[in-house]
Amino acid sequence: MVRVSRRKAHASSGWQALSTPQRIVALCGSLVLAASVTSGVSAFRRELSVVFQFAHQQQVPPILDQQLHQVRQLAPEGSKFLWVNEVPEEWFSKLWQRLLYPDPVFILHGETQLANTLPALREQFDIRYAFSAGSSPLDPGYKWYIRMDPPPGAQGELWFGELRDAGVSAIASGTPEERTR
Amino acid sequence: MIANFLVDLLTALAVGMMFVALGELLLFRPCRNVSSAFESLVVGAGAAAALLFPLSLLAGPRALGLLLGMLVLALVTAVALRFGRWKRLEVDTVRRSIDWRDPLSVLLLCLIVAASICFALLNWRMAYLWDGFQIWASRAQMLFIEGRLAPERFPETLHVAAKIRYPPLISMYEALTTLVRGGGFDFDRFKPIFLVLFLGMVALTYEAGRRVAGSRSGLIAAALVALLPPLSMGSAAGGYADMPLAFFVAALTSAILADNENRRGFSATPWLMGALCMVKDEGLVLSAIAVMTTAGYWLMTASRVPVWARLRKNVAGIFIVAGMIVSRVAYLRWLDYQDSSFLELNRETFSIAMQKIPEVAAIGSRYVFDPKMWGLFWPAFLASTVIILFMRCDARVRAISLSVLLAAGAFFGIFLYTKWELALHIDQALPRLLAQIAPAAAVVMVAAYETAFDSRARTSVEAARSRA
Repeated sequence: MVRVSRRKAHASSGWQALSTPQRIVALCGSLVLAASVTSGVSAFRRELSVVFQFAHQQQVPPILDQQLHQVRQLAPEGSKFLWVNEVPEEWFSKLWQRLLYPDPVFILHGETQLANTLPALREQFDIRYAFSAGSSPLDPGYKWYIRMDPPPGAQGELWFGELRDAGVSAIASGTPEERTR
Repeated sequence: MIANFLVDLLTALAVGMMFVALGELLLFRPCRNVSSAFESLVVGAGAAAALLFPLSLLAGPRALGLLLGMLVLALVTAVALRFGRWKRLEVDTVRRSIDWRDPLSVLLLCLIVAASICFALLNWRMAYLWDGFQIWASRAQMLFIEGRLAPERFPETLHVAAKIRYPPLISMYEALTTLVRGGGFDFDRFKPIFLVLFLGMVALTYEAGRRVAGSRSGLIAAALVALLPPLSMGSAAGGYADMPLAFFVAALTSAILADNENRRGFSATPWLMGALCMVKDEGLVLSAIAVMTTAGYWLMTASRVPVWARLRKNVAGIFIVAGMIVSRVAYLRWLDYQDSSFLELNRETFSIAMQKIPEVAAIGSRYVFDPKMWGLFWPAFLASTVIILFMRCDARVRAISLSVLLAAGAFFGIFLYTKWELALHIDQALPRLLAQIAPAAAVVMVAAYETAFDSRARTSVEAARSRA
């Protein structure tokens, strides 16, 4: 078997100067590189077209900035908030949690958790304000509330308002007042 | 928007330069080129992250500001030394070592540049994805507002919940970038750190490949890594910490292969071994594997250099690795926050885990051999490992190859103890876990190619040197 070092192979006429094992190795190497280039290029094309068509460029959509300003006018800094989801949801509730940080936002999902957890939570923490999100948002015991536009990508409605005092039952105290913005 | 991105990129680079300066001081040598600057960046960032926890305990809410002050001081000192004792920066070796007359090298370089531009576009155009926002950027916000590593004020809010345990390096870089830029905290203003880290990963993979098998092989390794979807798009551009950990792995691989080179200053290897556990939880596993492999390498080569002699020579390095791991473990102990995603390790769960092996292997292999995601990357790595282990080859390349195998095994093992639905957990995590070790695997592949190709089978470092 003729054995030629790689450097010598390059120095002479390339492929012709390679031994059979070297040709096999070179073919395998080329195949691996070609497969990487193919998968990489097609993935980049897919990703770039999806991102440039659909992706948000900003983490916080501008509408949320406006709503944050509005919430901050109604609820002073240092307030504690409740967030009630009609059905479990993890993105927008967490987004608001981060917008309001370091003020805490306690998140509850569904009617059962709301009924079971809210009294103890309000007893432990002085929660005065609440968001409620869903196609028909749950009432955690609002004194008053306003409707806010849902952020892009979210479905249903979003309410924000002040809660009645912790001792007053939500059911006993009737319909909350809806305020206009 | 583009102007903002450029300003943010410059700010991220400025903070990166501070890490580079700290790294230079710790290694006591100036950077000679782009690759050694990225190596110093990893060393500096790792050391700063390890320092953040003790600083948080000592300085409270002033810890982050104090850390920034120390980094500025390091930058000033390094600049002063550069104009004084240290030689001026040499010409970039990337330009010197690439053979511009070789069409394949030029083509590969074009591919790498194109992949980097695509990554930059994605990084600019995309908001953070799930973990990038809800874990890393949110922890950066906590760090920025609290000024220190702190437990959640209201754990009941499940703000970042169990993710508070995660290592601080990425969030620290994001928070420091915000602090340097000034103004309030803005989630959109520190994304370019990931572009810096991506470029570092590509440069150091090139450097490791170049050290093992020459500049063309370095370019092949860098192109293989730059074109991997889990490292160059999606979660990588969306702010996850897996690509940064891959950067650290590339740095460690490159440093291990450089340790015999005649370099000034101290070895970067121990700093890099410790720094792994400052990026992501899995980094602790990778650090442990790196330590074990080093110990194994010392034992295997004990006939040439006795183990006690190596221990004596590397006592400072041992303390550095131990110090960084202790800082990480101490933070976990201090938080005392249990991760509920995994089963406890005991005899009962062990038998449950053993029963899951076939299922984990079956589901996992579907992801490992998915050609859309990896091309032929992992099959080629497995073939390369066989070549590396059975043909005459540099012992360090063998050690790297075994470490990658061990790490992949450990990553599969994690799923044996998951409490999640198995297929879902593997789908969410396995590609990102494997991506972390991909730079080292790419270097093994080019070394194996060189070994198999070269008739005299005396590949790797020696062969590369003789060619150079």
